[in-house]
Amino acid sequence: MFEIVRILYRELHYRRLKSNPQIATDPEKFMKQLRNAGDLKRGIALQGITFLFLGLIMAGAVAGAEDETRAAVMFATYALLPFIMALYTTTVNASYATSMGIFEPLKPLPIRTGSKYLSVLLAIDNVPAVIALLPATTVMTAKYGIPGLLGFFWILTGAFLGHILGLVVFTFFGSASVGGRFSKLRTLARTLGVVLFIGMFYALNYLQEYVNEHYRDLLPVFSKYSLAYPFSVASITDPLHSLLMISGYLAVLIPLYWLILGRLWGRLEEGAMVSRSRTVRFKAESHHPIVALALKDFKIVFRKSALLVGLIFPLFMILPSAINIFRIGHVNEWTAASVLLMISWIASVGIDTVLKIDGKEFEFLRTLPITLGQFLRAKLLVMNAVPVTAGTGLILAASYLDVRALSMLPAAVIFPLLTSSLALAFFYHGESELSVPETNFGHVLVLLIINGFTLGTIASLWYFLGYPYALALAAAGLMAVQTRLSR
Amino acid sequence: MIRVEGLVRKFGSTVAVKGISFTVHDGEIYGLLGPNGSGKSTMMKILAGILSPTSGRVVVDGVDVAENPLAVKRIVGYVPETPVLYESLTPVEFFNFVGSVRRIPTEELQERVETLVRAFGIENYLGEMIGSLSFGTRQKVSLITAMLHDPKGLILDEAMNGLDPKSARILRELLLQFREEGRSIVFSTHVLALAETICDRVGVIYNGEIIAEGTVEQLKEFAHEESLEDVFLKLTESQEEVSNIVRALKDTL
Repeated sequence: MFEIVRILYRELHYRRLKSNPQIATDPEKFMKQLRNAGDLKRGIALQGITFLFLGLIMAGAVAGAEDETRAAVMFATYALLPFIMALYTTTVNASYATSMGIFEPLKPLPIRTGSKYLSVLLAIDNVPAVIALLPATTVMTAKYGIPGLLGFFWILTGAFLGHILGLVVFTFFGSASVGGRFSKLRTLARTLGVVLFIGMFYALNYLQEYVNEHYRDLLPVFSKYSLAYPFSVASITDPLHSLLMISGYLAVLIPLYWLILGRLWGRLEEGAMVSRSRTVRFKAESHHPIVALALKDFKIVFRKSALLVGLIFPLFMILPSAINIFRIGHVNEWTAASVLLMISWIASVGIDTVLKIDGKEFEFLRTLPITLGQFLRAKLLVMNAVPVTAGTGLILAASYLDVRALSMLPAAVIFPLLTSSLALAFFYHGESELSVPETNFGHVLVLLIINGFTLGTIASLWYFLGYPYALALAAAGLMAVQTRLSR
Repeated sequence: MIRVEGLVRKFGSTVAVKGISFTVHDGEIYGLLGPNGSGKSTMMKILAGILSPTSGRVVVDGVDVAENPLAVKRIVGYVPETPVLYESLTPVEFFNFVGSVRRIPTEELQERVETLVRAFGIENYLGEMIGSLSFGTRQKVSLITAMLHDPKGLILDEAMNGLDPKSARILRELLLQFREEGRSIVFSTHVLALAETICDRVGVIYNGEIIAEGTVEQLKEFAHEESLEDVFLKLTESQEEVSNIVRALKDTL
């Protein structure tokens, strides 16, 4: 089992490196990179160390908590990390790993559920997120004993839950179909399905709050602990209750996991599903090359729901803050600004998804007369589709409460464009040819720090000098980065 | 139209192409023959502007490949050994995507796609995802894609792979028509009988070097052999090896 996973891991990274001409054409560089990226143990260790630093910060906060309940609530908030990472990496990487064709050699072999290799391969990427919470777990255990250990079980359960949900999204929503009657409607329904599916944890939380507010009789059941992860993690202060909840989760998740593995393997063996109900005539449509590249990406994303999850994922991370604005009932400049800044910060993470859209077909792009600048601008369009729409949508909606909010519309466009341009400039630094750079969590973490610093500077300027100055700085920054991207 | 001078391509310490020189004139079909791993595909990728040469010079229609690969990509059409296409797109979407990137005027694109789709008989597959098509149909999509922009030159790496007899004949006729129109075609194949009938000149590439070049008749004369297959086996020092393997197989199986 481990040997096959090791080979698949190496093969995946091998193919990724092969798609980067800067590396692929230099065997020494290629072998060096492959030694680092393709070695499973080294890969986990390097990412684990990176995440351990983040974990130490979180552990510090838990250590400083005044009492057990506060520490448990804090711990529950952090427990969102392995869940989100597992959900994200599983959905996005499942699509990428299969599009790279690494499972093709397994198909002719007499294997009942080869998908378990895919599952383990993807689960490996979740290990660093679990490692990140080890320091906090240690602190909890040292200070409060059993709750700390239970916390660790909850983290594992959370990562498992995210992983299974990712597999569900990939298996049930990931099948692409084109043509036939109502094909656009089906695409829309599938997209909505994905959005609702990954949003159900928020929905559960809001449902609980609703119940709390309206049905006082049910308070004893609902008020103390939520059933929905990660809120359920706060139950660690009541070990018996918490243990029961973990058991309940596992009782559902384990059979679901085995069921989904069977379905997944079936899907992998089948390949792409297609409806063939009508004959299509060719109708020529011309677009600017950048638009054509972006449209191509959007079509692929909407047909591979796993990639769609990656693209719309930032939405779910900012949803609670956005909803908060409308709960208050009036627009506070700083509340709106913080949501815009958060959207922009998270937007840059979309680079991981957009660079995975082309998969092995990237080789085809290299046969076309496309400049790196055109390629990057198309990726910029795709990366920003969701954050810019979300930001402008939020501002337009907020303008119903206070028309002055409209002044923030340029920021809703410029901020995410700036952070995603920085992301592209970061990953394509020194590149002159069309290529797909390696993106791992370490890189994304560095990127988040760079963009955090950039947005922090803009926010400071906004606070001390005013919005126009912050906007001017962001616009100037965007122009400067765009100049660098013109290749 | 295509001039290759002392072309060397290294991959680290491995030399895939060792100082190759040849010229393909306007209105000529040049066959590149060679065993697997001889450097044919590397050569083809360099001609198509996908790989840059380590040293030497490749000029396509007056454009230096190393200096301006994008311009070369605009001039030539390239069909790789294995079709690499966006599998989640339909052929309609794919042709429109390529047409847009290549900036082909809408009417011209419409006309060319309709003609080529009819020629290769893929009308019924236009609305299906490329990933669900058979290898042969994908190869046809790949061929149509390479011809969409009315290229001045064609670089075809094993382009006959997977084609049914009818489509293979159509491709052959198309190539002959292209030749008449004065375009240059570099054509690599393992089907030596085809090379014998279609290529004006042939270059035999072995271990990264062109070891013989000329018309099929000239090569037969040079190697004192009756068929191009025998010429090929003799030049690539495979004749005796093939006989030994066949004998061993007969003994074992």
